[in-house]
Amino acid sequence: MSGTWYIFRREVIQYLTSPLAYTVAFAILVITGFLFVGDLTTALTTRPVNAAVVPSFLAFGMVVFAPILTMRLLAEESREGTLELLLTAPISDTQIVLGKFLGAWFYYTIVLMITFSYQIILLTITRPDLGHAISAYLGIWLYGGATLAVGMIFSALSENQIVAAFLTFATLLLLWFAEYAAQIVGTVELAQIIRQLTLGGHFSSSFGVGIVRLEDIVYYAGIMVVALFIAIRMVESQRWR
Amino acid sequence: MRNENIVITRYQIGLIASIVGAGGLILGIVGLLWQGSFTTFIISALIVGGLGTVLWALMTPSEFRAFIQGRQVRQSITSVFAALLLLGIVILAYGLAQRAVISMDMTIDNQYTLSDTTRQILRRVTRPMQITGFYSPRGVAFREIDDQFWRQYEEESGGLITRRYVDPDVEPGLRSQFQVVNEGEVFLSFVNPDGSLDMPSTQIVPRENGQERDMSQTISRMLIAGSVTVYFEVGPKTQPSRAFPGSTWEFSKAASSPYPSACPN
Repeated sequence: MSGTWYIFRREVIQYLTSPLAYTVAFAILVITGFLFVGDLTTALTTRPVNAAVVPSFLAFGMVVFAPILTMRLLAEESREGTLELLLTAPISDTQIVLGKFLGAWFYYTIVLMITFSYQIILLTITRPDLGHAISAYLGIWLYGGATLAVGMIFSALSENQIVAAFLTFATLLLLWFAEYAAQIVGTVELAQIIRQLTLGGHFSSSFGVGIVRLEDIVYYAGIMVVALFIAIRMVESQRWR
Repeated sequence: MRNENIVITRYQIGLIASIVGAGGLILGIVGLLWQGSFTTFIISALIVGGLGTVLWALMTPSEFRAFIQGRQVRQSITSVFAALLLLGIVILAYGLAQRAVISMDMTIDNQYTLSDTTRQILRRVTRPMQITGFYSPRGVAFREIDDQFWRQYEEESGGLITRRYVDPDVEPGLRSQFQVVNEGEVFLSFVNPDGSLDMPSTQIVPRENGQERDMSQTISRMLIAGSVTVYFEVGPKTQPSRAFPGSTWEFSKAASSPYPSACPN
């Protein structure tokens, strides 16, 4: 556990001192800020404010941001040769991968919490549906965790950060578009199966509308567990050579 | 002009053969799992895969032996199986969670939970009813949201209300029987004792005020359509109709008619 904590702390410090991380946070906050103001302006006198406007954007946004946040985690260590040092240190491969993943997820949580301030601003103006907002934020937090875990696989797979980012992006984009691809298949049963495999399918009609379902939590947790297991085995494969 | 000889080594042939072999075997196995029978394509893929593997073993026997006996391969195979096992456990857990149907409505006004008014209406349901929804693959997302409501109606009515989903493209007969025009149209019908639908009782569920209100209003209308007690003013006092046996009027509605017609019992 101390090994995981050590790696986690190191990663968080790296995020907080990295210009790239600040650029990502800046981009997320600018876009979500515009979306929030836009929705507020449209909603005035016509409809209640959409409590899930920011999480709904991030459901697609993470397809772009997750590769940027995860690409360097293991690929950089591998390219610079520091992964070998880490592997010889008295910490297990599981602790290395878990620590790095938790660091990335923690950074994402901080950014997400900053966007939650929009709900506080709303509280001073109107009576927002906070339950709906909390549900959507919980959903996008888990969704983000799953996308970051997928990014860990490709960061462990490649020494090149760009390649790792591209592969993560392509995979997440596929998982994102599969939700729409499900609509053009021949049968409803097949469409349902495809939809159940997609990341967005477990957000848009449950967390996104204010319903927390156990099956969706299990889905995201499952993606994280499987993806992290694969990443751990990939790091471990360095010892087999 | 320089004359460059092209040299093909045994190693290169072995490498290409191993790739072709692996590709053929993977294609063949995946195809077999997908289709469940040996088709010409699957047999061809397996033959190509087998030939590729044999050629690889012949061209670079030491490489082939190292692959089969190597530590890296053993570890890789163990990892693949462990990952598959973990994936199986996750799928099992997901399936169990899906069957358990555990959800929490977080919205401030419980938008996705049946209201007390709806529960009161459902307590009055004594005859089996069926919710028939028409959703094609394009409407799978809407079906999922609607189903979260219809499922509650089924549970709350103690199974008297059941739900059925129809793909209008697959069952055009039902589509024309219900006169479906748009994607996602939902109908409510009484069910006869023999299990067939009482088509004249069928009503379309309007999409105006949200799923719950629209459905509850339709159920309410159908319950009223079954039997209405009419009060007559007789003399100086108002008497309930039960004082006059056989004076109950019934309203029945044909599926094609937009308004209920009244007829004496």
